[in-house]
Amino acid sequence: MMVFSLVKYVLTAAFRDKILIAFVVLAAVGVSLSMFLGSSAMSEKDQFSAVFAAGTLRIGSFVTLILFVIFYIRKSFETRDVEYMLSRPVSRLQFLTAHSLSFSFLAFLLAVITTSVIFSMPGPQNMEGNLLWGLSLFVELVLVSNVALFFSVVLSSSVVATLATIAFYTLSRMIGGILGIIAAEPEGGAMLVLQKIMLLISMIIPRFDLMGQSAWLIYGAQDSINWPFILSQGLVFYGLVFTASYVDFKRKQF
Amino acid sequence: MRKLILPYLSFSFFLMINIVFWTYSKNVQMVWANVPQAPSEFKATTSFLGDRQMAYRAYAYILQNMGSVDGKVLSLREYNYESLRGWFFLEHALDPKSDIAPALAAYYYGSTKDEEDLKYIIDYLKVVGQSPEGQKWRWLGHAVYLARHQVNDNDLALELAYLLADNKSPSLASWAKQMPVFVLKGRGDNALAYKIMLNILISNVDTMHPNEIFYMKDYICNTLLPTIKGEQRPPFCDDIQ
Repeated sequence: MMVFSLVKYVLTAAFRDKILIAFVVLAAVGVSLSMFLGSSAMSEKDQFSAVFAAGTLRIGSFVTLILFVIFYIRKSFETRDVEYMLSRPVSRLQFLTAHSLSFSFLAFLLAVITTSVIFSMPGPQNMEGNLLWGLSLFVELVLVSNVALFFSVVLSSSVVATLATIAFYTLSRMIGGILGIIAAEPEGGAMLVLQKIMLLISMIIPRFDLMGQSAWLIYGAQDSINWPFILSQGLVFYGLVFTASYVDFKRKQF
Repeated sequence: MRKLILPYLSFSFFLMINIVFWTYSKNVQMVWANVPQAPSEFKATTSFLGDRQMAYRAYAYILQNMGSVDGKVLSLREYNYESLRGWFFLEHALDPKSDIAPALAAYYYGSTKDEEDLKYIIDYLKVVGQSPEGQKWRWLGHAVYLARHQVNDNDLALELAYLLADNKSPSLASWAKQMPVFVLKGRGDNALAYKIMLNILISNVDTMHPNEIFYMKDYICNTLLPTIKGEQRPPFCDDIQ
């Protein structure tokens, strides 16, 4: 029960910060710009608009979510809200679970808004592709919000935590290309060491390059990337990042 | 008030410096360094954080507006077509299904009158047009037109026409299968053109539309046959007036 009370508390803070309204305004601007750019394309105007809108909203939802998560958690630490809550009958695990659930619910809301916008774009709609894209975006946002939670618990500076999350997200979206280069061009000497290090790092980096592909909106879902893969990756990595946050939070001395 | 004199004087001084600098900078324009080298597929995809379709559309937009961004209008002769070819092949690697890049190559950049530049466009359309997917073969048809009527290279046109006729797309039009005939006729190889056309007619008579069959018979009997000496007139020519 305490967990649900905490979830309600965090969501109240989110709605008080008006992040959903801000995201809707951001989405309106992003979609307008995408449709303007798409209208000036020589042909396939609707496809241009859909792809630009999807790419913009994907980045916009990521930024909106991580900024809220990081600045909210750091403010909670700085104003000693965390210590106050832990003085109540709330365990550290319950505290972390409540926050993780809240941020995941916000991720769900942002994914629903974004997918709805994509569905409302003019032009032919690929239902299966759109739904897979929406699901993929939801899983991606859940993972980044929990990664943001991890960094904001571990690091004491909001700016550093934000930069670390952005760096993690960028690496996750590039890791596919890096793995492809390692597989295609085996090197020797110092480069071999670097390749091994990258392979090691890739074990704990999710494959965001395989998720949220704009091509799904145009051509439909591919056989190799389907919802079981996306959900499996989401569950596996969520477990990793949540337990990492718990380990650090458990060790923290107040 | 006396305390504010120095800040006001400093501000006024720097305002004047800015205005002096503006009189110089307002006439400075960026010089376009022509079409840059296309990035690798990895760099192109990485620039858009792994989203290949986004990269494709963004680069297509760039290609559409390249050289015309700041109000300038450049002649197509001024573009580096060798670099453009690199961009088109990059686009093909990012998304071989879309028709934006072939359309830009064929209809926009293919409008140049420079024969050497057109060969780069033909190189690209030759690759795209061999895909059996959808109606990609139409780009190869355009490449034949460019080779024959713009570059005036009938050997190249014939090579492309054979590739077009061999395309395995189920939607391949009859005229595309007949393209080698038209190019051969243009080269003056009427005997070979006659044999190929007759072979196409005999092989496809059961599947072709009657109008198409009539057209082919008319072409054989009234266009090709009169130019060939010693060739026996087929019986179906008696049905054609």
